[in-house]
Amino acid sequence: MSVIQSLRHKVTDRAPADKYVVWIVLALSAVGVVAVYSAVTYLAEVRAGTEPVHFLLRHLVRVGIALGAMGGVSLIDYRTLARYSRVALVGALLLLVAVKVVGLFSGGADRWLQIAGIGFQPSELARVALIFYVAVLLVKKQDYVKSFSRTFLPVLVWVGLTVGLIGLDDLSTALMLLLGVLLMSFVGRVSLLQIGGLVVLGGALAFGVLSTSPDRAARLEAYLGMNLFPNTDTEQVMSARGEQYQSRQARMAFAAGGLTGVGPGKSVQRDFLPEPYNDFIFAIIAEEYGIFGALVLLAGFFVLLFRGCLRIARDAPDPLGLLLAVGVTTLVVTYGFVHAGVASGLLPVTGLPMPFVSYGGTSLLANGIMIGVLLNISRHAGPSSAERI
Amino acid sequence: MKPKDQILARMYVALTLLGLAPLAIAVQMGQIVLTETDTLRDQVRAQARSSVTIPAMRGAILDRNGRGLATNTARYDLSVDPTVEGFQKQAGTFFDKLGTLTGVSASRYRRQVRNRHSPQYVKLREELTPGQHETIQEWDVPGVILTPEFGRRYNYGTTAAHVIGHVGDGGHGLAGLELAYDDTLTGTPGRRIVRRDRSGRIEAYVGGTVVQPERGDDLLLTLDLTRQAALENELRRGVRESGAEWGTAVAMDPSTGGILALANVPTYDPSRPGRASAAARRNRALTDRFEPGSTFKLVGATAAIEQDLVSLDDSVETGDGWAVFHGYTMKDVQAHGTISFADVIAKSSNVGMAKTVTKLDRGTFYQYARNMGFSQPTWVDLPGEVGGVLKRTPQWSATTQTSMAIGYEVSVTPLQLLTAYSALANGGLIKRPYVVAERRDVTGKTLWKNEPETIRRAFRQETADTLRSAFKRVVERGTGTNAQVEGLRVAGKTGTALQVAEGEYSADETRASFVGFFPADAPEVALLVVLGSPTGGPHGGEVAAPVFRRVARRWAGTFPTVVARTTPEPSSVSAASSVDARSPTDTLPPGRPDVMPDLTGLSTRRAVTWLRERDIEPQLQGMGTVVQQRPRPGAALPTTRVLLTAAE
Repeated sequence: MSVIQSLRHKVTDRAPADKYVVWIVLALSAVGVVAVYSAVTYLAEVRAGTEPVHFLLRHLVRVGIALGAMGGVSLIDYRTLARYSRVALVGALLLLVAVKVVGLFSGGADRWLQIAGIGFQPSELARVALIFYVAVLLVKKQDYVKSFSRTFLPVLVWVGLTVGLIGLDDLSTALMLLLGVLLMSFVGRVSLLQIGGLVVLGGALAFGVLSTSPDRAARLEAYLGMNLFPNTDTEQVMSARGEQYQSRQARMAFAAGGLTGVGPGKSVQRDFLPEPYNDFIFAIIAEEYGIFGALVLLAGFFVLLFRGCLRIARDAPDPLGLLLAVGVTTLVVTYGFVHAGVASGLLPVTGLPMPFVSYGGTSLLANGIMIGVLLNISRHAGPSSAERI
Repeated sequence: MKPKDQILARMYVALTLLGLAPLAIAVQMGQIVLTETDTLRDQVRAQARSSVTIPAMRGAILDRNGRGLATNTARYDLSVDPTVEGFQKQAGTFFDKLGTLTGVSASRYRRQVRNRHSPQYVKLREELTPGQHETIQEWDVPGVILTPEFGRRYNYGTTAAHVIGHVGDGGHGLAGLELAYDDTLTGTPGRRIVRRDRSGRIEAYVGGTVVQPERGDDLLLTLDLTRQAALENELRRGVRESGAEWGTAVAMDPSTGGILALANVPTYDPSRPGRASAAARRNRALTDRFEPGSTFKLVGATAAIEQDLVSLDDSVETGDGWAVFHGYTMKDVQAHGTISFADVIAKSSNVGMAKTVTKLDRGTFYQYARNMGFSQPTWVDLPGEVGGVLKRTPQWSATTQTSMAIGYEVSVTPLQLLTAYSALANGGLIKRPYVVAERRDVTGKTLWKNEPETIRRAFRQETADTLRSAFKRVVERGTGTNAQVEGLRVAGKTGTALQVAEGEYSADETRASFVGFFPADAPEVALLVVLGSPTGGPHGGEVAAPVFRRVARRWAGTFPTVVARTTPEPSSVSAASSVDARSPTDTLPPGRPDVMPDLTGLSTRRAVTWLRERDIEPQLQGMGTVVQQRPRPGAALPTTRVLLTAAE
């Protein structure tokens, strides 16, 4: 009996991962490969001597690495990973500082770290580590979660440090991360009053960065259509080559696509949109596959959101699993939604990749790891898990 | 509430909020597609499509025998797209072969390709000849792009420059026929619809519409290259020998109005119009007005004869060579006493002509001048023509009529004067002068033929017949004996007009002219020569008539009808003292001069013989008459490398 029980326990422990999530990620990657292949044509033309196939192969390798990481991480117990989350976060923060310092010496702000010839964005690593560590902190402090000094302040220190370092030169990523942490804290029963304070803090930070960067401020002004900040050259940014140009070109892509699209590989707007393979891949998909294609893509993220929260998070064996699942899912899905919102002109122009679809190595890898964690949590789920808490 | 339930409850709230996002995005997308599709799609098309013009080849300008005076040259630009599949494989041999072909080291081309700015396009060389173009095409290297550039080539240099005109940078006519017939010559450019990207780079795409260009039509002129070269040659010589500032000469077929040749000195090179002054580019034959002087006596003579006020044999009292009209004294060059009206014309007596014209009433005299085309443009098909000035009778002063009788207080263009003398030659008809005889398409098919036009009858046939003998007498024993040609009867009139200098007529500044036609009894050619401010002698008979004679002599052989009429012996009246009896072949200097003589207009055999006798072996292009030479006349006589271009 005990043997059977222990066997059952083993089986439950190593239960198969959530199939829906796996299929959705594979489908998103497949759509991404096709769309990126079409979108890089212009890039290939501009860079001498490269064929679009070259970029396709690079993208395929990256997708392969990301999916491999996802599979690998899904085999590692998330509780084991949680133990190292603090070390990982500290390491990521050090890397961020290192990038800053290297950037100072090489002259020019850089988000990239070159390791053995491979470009790497430490901000993506910091993203994963922070989500992990905030989940760990929140779970640890559940008993006195409403306390400002014992719960909120420690969380705030880590979040402030990470978001601040990233936000120095990548405001949109920082804001997305802050949004993800806020959602996690909200779900993790942190006092609404304190979260409100954090929102104010985020707003202040954003305003501060915007005020020191006329370019960003002007982008926001171009979106809002009003003059908000002093010393910005909104007129110039709204000109043919500015932000207005980008959002207008994106709108043109949607219109060109119509309901059913112009067909795979027939995009015209890829020649006119900046970074069509990355920041505007959703617009290219909408152009080539129409509104219907774009809606199917959004539906994929929608299903991912509900699968991750309503199934994996709710059935998670412990609060850590629950909070981690919520944090990881919302972070990946909000990236997708915000990307689509930017491309369709709903949000101000900012360069965010669409998870698993856009061309971009580090973000692919980070998303792969996060979904890997989600899958691992799903492996531990069981009918009895709800009672285990 | 248990912590777990609270967590789940808060998660549902977050989920609901996030779930609204795709809804908002869907609404936004739907709004774009439903409300803005049409305008945005137009913008997509507008920015992504572009039309590229394919230039049409310009039509050629041909002389009456179809020789190309102005033709097109195709020059080719060579570019490569190094990204095209298969280029890199052949690149090495391609650069080597190209280096050999163009005489530039292959490594330079390699460097150009390596250092290119645009990834798919690098221009390696411009101005390749059609031969090089063909060779490169035969190599069949993928990625090689050869684009034609059409240039205008004036095959005979400055020859007929003022008639042909020139084109500007864009290949559009700026002067002469190039301007007047620009639409005909230009043709219809084609176009190609291409794709354009955000940096403005253009690429052709499969299925793009291509409209082929249509080549412009050719113009076939009434001008003859050989005669033109001879006329220019003689005019140049006349200007040089008389020390004149400028000269102009026009020849016309009096029966049709077709212009046989038209020359101006100074002239210019139509392929480098910018290097010449505006004065050199001016076609003085139709843009310059001048007081004609004695050549205008044709009007008074015609009116007086036709109105039966005088006959050729009637005596006219010219006395001591001066007479006073309304307080102004009119003088003859020398006193003639009482002479016939025919001699008034032949000896160009101002007093005799003025006295005769005072018998005409003002209106009649004015009407004759007007009918002969003065004060109106001739409507020649060349641009820039001016009308001239003929005062209306109410504006006349007391002396206007006598002044006009001898060619003052009136201004005319050389072409108007020639048209009037053509009327005398053809029996009284004012013809519209023209240069373009035919328009032909690219295959040589005639599209349009110019029909000679008569503008009006200026005087009666009988008047012309009567007067002609008087104008023959001008050449036979009057002021124009220098225009005599052995074996050819010539009729004509000299003219010497004082030019206004510093507000007064000055004897130092004149316009010397001779206008006439030959053969006198069945005219084939009417020719006018005007020299501006000659220093070698002010009179038309002294400086302009010899030019006429030499041209007539050289031209006579080119008209079979004229050859048939030429009398074998020299005419009895040829005055050896005044007539330069040298044959054209003798115009070359004997011995070994220091400078190149003017060889144009000579037969190639003569020119080559002359050069060989002086140990110079010329290079010869073409056959027939020399139309171009290098070095230019007056340059130091070289020992090697003389290039002659000839045409038949």
